[in-house]
Amino acid sequence: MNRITPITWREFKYTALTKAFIIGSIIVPIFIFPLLIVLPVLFAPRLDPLQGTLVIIGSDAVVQQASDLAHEEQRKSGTARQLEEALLDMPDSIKNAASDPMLGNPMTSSELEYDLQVEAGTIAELDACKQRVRDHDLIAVVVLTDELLKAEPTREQNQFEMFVRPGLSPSHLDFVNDLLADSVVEVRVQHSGMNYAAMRAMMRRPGVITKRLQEGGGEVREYEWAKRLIPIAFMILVWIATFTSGNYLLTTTIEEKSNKVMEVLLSAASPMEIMSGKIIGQAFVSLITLFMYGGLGIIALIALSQADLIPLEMIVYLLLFFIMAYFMIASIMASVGSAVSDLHDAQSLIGPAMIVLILPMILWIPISESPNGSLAVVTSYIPPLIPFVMILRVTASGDPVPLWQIAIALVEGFAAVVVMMWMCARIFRVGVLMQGKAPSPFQLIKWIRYR
Amino acid sequence: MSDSSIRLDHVDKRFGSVHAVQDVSFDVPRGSLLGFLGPNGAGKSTTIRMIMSIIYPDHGSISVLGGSALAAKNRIGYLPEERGLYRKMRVGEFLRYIGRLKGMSRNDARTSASTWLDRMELQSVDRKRCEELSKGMQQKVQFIASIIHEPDLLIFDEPFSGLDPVNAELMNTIIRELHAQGRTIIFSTHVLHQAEQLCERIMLIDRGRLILDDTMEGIQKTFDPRTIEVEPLEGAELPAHLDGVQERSRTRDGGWELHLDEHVDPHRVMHRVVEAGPVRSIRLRRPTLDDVFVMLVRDRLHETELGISLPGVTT
Repeated sequence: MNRITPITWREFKYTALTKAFIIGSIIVPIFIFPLLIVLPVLFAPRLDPLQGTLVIIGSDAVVQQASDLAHEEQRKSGTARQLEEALLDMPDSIKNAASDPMLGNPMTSSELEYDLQVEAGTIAELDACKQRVRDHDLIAVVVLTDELLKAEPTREQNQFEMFVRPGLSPSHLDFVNDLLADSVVEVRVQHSGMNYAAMRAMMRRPGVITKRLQEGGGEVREYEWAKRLIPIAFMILVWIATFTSGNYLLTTTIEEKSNKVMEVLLSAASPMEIMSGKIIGQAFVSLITLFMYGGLGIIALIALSQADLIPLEMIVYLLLFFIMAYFMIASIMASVGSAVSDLHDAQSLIGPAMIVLILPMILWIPISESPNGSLAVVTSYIPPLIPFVMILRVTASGDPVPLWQIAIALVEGFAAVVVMMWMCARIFRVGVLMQGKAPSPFQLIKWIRYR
Repeated sequence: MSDSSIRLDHVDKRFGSVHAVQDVSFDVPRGSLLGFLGPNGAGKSTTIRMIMSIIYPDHGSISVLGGSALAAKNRIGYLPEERGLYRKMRVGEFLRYIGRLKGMSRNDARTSASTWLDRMELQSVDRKRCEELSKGMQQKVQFIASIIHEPDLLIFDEPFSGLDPVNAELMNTIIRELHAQGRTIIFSTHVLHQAEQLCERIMLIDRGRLILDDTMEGIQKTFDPRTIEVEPLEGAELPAHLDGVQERSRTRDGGWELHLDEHVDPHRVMHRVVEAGPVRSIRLRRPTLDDVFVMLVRDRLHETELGISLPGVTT
């Protein structure tokens, strides 16, 4: 143990107490949250006003209607309206942030300034109008058919042609499209003798304000999106924390081999001690990453008054499955790092393992939607996948995972950790002394069997 | 307490189809200064790694400093042939780290690192990163790393590599001092005259087998001298033909080297040379380690190629 401690400290110090790590894993996450608010402002489009004339051929009623709509104040483009609808189900703090005038009003800033004239044309004037569009004299010319304005047009009839000028921006086009589509629909409704405004109000689907009753009393607003995101957020947290350190473990081991410092270390400590020291050192690095990102996530939930979405047992499971995942990934990375002499060779050995380990990412939706389904249950008993699948299952909002299944996963998972660490120690012992060509997976199996 | 620093008993090691070490047995008494020589790929590194319990023999046993090799790790110092330094680590910190790994307390490691840096004339590099050092300085830092914990057994693999003559002499002096303190030193090198100057005893390993284990004196006795160096007086010439001389070659100072046939008595040839004309000097050249090394390794190669077995020379 007295040899493991200095190795652990060196490994930790030269990974975590470096500028690259402090900036990348500590300072950057601290700035992520403010940036999430500031970025929409920075990226908010600053659109030029839409000015000019639109010629509509084929329906005076639509011309009139479009002209009326074009003179409505604060008419929003389709994209802005979609964003506004998406915001309806967001917590108040996000809504406020999105429409905070101090932040530049990022959502509403996509509203377009416009000064649009709508004129009627005839089919005989189409070619002349097209030329005017090309000459930038008109914004667009639109050709409507009688069938389009029927009460029940077929799919083929329910479309029209519009010729736009070169260089028209997508936002301007989006605005004109919406204006025309709304005008056509309104004219159809008017032709049917109905009141469009009343009908639109009636057709508006009601929103559901779901409230979750808390165990200790009280109630909070339930956000479905949050419950869907929690499992993948937990899994990505475990993934990032374990793979970041796993990667450091891989590169430092390769570096020690290529620098020939491994030979010096081996004269002072056994391969098992070196491997243990390195893995424990990187475990602390991994914990920092976990606490950094996990802590920021929890702070965000507290700020949104959603802390009760993550009960204490979920944190306990997170820690247990994180430990399991870390030692599994560390054993793979340490084995590969010891067996190869450069990163390029390492990629070819890690590739197959990564394909397996990426499965939980692909299976995120089916597993979190149905945490007790066959797919979830079966994959949670396959050793390298256990921690990742189980963290998805135990944090999903569906039926709770039976305790006996969690117990089996824990026992099997930690047994697999012991086996993987043993195999890693065997490979490490031989691998650190090998130079040159990278071994094949079959050679690695041979190394495990060496005396 | 055993008198042996290292004892190998019928040690055998294979890597797949490669028989790296074959039935090697030897005993290194405490306080020896031993040259461990052999051509590339002979099995030296494998043997050394087994001595240091980095790898384990398939058969046979190894005893180091009277016990198991693993337990003796803190009492062994090892200087590998290739420089093994953390490029980004500062020199002082690296030495303290190795000291801690070798079981030293934090303070002892600090004091010892500082003392040895002074001794090796490296006071100014304590705060420098290892990558900033010259090749020779790196070699000296690595040398300190191998002796910082004052080990009883020292294994040096090419210790003079990359050193200028002044630093080589400094290291030579320190090695002699360490030997004088009673430490056992095993010294592996390809520069055989260094081994010849330093070592009391030589072991030669080739293709996994120990083919020579003797003192320098014993080697010189065992290997019959086959070269006469002669310097005729100015104006005098050697006879065109001398019985028993296989070939002759000019030396830089105008003398001759006479290479003798097998089984010819060198003293008879020397007598004939002196009778033939006046000479300034004549002497029977003692076999150098280079001669012995080349002879033994070449003979074993010849033996293998012909499929015949020459008598063993291991003493």
